[in-house]
Amino acid sequence: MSKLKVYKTIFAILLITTIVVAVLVITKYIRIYNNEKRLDAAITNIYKETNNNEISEIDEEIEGNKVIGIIKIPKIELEYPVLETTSTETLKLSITKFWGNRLNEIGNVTLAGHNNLNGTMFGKIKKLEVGDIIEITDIQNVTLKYEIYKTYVIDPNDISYILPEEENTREVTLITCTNGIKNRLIIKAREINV
Amino acid sequence: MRNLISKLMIITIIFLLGILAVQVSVYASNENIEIIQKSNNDYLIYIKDNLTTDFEFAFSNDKNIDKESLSYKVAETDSTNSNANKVAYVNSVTIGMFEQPTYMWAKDSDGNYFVEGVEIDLSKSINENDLEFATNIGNIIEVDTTKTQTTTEEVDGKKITTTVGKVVLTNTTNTNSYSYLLIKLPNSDAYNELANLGIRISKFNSETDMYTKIIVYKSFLELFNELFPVSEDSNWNLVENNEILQPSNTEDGEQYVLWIKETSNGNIVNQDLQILTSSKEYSEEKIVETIITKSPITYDNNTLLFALIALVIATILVFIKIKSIEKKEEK
Repeated sequence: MSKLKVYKTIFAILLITTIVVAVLVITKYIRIYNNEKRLDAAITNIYKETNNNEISEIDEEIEGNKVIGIIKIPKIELEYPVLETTSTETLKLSITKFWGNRLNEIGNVTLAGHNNLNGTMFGKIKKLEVGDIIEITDIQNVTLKYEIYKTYVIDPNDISYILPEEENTREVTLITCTNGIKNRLIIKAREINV
Repeated sequence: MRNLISKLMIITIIFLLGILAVQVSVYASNENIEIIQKSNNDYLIYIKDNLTTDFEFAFSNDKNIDKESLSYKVAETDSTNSNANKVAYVNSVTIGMFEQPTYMWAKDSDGNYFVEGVEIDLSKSINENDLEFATNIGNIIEVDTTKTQTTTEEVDGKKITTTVGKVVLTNTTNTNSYSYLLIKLPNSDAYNELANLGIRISKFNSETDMYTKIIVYKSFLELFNELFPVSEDSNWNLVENNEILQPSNTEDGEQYVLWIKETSNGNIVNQDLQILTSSKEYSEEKIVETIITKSPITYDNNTLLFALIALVIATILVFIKIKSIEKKEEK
């Protein structure tokens, strides 16, 4: 077989493989895009339902997973429903409650989200700094504001971040992967006393 | 005779329906309007979404009146605070109108009407004293809910230390007695709603608007009055040593409604309510068994993306190589 024929065969194989992988990549991003649209619709629906009745609770599910509130971070234009449980599947859908009491209760509640390369979920929380604001709306449609007081990177086996740092204080901790899968970025915030 | 019986039946049905309507609408509301009855019998009218709007308002007993012909008054503030709300008001001059059905119009400073011919029923107001009572719920009989009680026991050869919460009455008088009743949640729909409203009230802050507060307080008071245990068989427990202990079979995170009443010579002088979340902690050894041991994996796997980039580069390089070989062969 001539050298040219060998290269043409390799070229054909590479081209087909590239097309297949491209389709897989596009499919992944279409899934993410559709999921984002669905989450936007869920949030719109929650606001619509709760605004129609001042004392109503949030009653929304995403693929059978109960929504227990909404997280909003104005600085990075982040707004997602918070799902009740954390698993591989729920993390693909939205931000999830990883540990702690109910949202906006005394104590620390830890929320987990994917560090997506395209900036969705917790993909942009690395831009947050001390003093930035996190708004948490709980299932009873009450919104409290929290101010970030600490950000740091830890080993995944270090779970000290789930513990509250002050007694009788409402705290929120955000967690996502950083340095690939090697570390976790921790962002801690506490309620702004009004 | 038959005609008389029919008339009597109709009158009885109307009477019963009337009683039912009164019971159902103890704290009913006007459309998008909430009203507070002041102690001097003036009424403050709060209009949804217009608590900070400068506006003018007018009343009439004729719903079909030309609204431009009405004599408008300027809205006032409900307090002297910097964050006071703008309210329409009914005072001793205008109260007489309300003996008949009365309708309200309101317009902003640009002349845009946002209330037009809405009937104002002052009986749907909340009394200032009731509002104050609802505001103070949880603080009427002073308690400290942060105290705990620790017990130690041996189970399966392990020493287990259990710490549970307790409620301590902090400002009692020797002459009065205190009783309590714990209702575990979830319970009936009414109790669950009472607890939800109680929690919601505890989260009110400076950003909660007065209109929302009034709605929640009214709903809360209605349930409070409906559910407060008054019957003889309500199983009230006497508070001993100013302490109310968490039931021994409580699990961590369970919620309770705690009714407390203060009596003097058998008469209730104060009544209060707390929404409690029980706490139960075990020894360090026990806690380790239930605590998580590693963080969730929240990594965005981009292997496919990197593979695609590598493939594209490789494909381009092979393509260039083919072209260069073809050029050489042509020569």
